[in-house]
Amino acid sequence: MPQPKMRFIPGVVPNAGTLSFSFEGNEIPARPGETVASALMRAGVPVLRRTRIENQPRGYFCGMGICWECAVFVEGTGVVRSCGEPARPGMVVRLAEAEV
Amino acid sequence: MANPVFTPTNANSDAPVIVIGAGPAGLACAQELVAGNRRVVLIDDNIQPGGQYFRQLPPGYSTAPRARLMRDKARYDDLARVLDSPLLTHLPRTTAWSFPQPGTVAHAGPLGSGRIAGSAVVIATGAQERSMPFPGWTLPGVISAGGCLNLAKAHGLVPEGRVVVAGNGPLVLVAAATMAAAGARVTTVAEAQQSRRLAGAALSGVVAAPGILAKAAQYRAQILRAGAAWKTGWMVSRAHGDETLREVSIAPVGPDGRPDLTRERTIPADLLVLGYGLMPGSDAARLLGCRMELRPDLGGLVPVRGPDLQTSTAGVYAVGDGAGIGGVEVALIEGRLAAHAILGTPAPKQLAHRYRTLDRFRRALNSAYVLPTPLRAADDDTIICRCEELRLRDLKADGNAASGSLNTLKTSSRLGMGRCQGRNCLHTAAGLLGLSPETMVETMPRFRPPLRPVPLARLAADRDAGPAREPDEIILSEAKD
Ligand SMILES: Cc1cc2nc3c(=O)[nH]c(=O)nc-3n(C[C@H](O)[C@H](O)[C@H](O)COP(=O)(O)OP(=O)(O)OC[C@H]3O[C@@H](n4cnc5c(N)ncnc54)[C@H](O)[C@@H]3O)c2cc1C
Repeated sequence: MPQPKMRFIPGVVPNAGTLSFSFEGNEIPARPGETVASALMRAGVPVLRRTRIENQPRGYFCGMGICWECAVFVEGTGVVRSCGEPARPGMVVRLAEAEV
Repeated sequence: MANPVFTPTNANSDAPVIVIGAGPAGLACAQELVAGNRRVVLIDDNIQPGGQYFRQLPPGYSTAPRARLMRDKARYDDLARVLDSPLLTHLPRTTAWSFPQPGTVAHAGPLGSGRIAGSAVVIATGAQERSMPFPGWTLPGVISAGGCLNLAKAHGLVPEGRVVVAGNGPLVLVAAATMAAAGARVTTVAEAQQSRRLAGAALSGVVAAPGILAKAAQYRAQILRAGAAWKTGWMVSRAHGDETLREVSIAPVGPDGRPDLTRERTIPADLLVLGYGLMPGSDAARLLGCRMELRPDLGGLVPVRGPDLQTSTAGVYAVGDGAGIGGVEVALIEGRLAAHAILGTPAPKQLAHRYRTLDRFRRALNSAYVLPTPLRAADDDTIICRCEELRLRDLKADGNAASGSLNTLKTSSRLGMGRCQGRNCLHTAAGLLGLSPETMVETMPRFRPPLRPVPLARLAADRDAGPAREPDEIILSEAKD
């Protein structure tokens, strides 16, 4: 079954141009200024981390910096909340696992 | 080590007023202070100011007139003008993480870390959502109402699939209407409270806050136009799916607060939005040693405040949802009232009058949504602590489950030891283990700095961090009505 995707609300005009970063080895396009979570959800990637003990999938949840469920691992930076982290060109991102 | 005396403010003080939180309350407070010629340092952990209600799209995004974001842009633009004032220093992406001395705020962020001594501190840190765990609630595709509003407001996104919204409180309406307006397929909206209990508050609001009620009616109309079923007295019983959400089961709320599974219905869903209420974010006030009280009509544990909105810690003011759930209108007015108190200028009579009316209304509304019995949909297998992956079964089996103390349980079970610092799980675990709200508050682990997770590298940038002030316990005062 295809994953439920997010799309831009009709009439929302993101910044022009695209950049891309990698997530788990896949190239993900993003608009300048867009957060990592936003780009991933638009690309149909709902699972952003896997839990340390049971390897369960987790994704965007609180959207305000409390829950850390959307944590991802960014090479060179470490664990960040993907919902508050702007995507940068060439960023290497993977599922946060044992780190959270 | 004696703390230097933090003197209450006076109009001549040179030191800036430190406002923590750039939501409606913090921005309104800053605007009034700057109008009164006071310097202000505004600290907020988001990229952009606005807080929850005025949450902004990423810098540079624009919107065509047809974009239906329901975001009150004109009022925000007016407030945000204060950011251009030379009297104001805005520290975005910055966390206020400790108060090494009363009146001094330690802050950290990618733009720098340090500490600032203020002539007064205004806590405008807003609310957080209540959790209501049920089987399957950790699946990707299950999100909170605030998370849903931020999808639209902060990211400009709307889901492509079917959306179910469920919860208890005004945010259910707001989230459902926002999704519907943005073009989502909202199929079902379930409010746990019975409609007859909500009717009384609505009536009192006709006089107190006609504007707010008109907005609520508009939200309802938006939801119904979208063709969604609107149910009262129903709750989520479980969510189904493997890697992501696939279906949601809802059921009427039984007299014991549990879902009545004999009437459970399962509906397909790609996104489930949960809004089981807001509670004031009491962490900053607690760390500052403010006297606290449990107030159901204000949404939970709040700092005790005088008529000037000052807490029991002199020079520390608390405004907006962090001091009692009240929504944007209350937050804006409280911000202004606290500014007048700090400036030593009388608040305009009209403002004070409007505040009294709104305050009555929000307390009636909060009380109207209080359920006769707390909801309970978790079974033994349900994850309660998302960070440490603790199921209700694990908590019940813990040697300290019957200790009657959250703090004791935390040390043995790891409940609340993860990155959310207990914000998501402690309040629900307490209820599920049968602790009364009073016992929960009395036995809650104390908040230690940092208030929110801050990368070590950024803390290290604050070279003389030293030991932070840690009140030993929550100081509760007698609740009064
Ligand atoms: C997730 C969420 C979404 C909401 N969305 C809506 C909505 O769309 N419509 C509506 O009518 N109501 C909404 N509400 C209700 C909302 O709380 C109020 O309407 C209003 O935003 C309250 O204003 P405030 O200024 O008191 O707090 P907020 O708007 O919450 O602002 C507080 C600010 O302080 C920041 N902060 C907190 N602690 C720290 C710290 N230690 N260091 C630095 N910064 C800190 C927060 O990140 C936030 O930016 C929402 C509430 C929540 C929790």
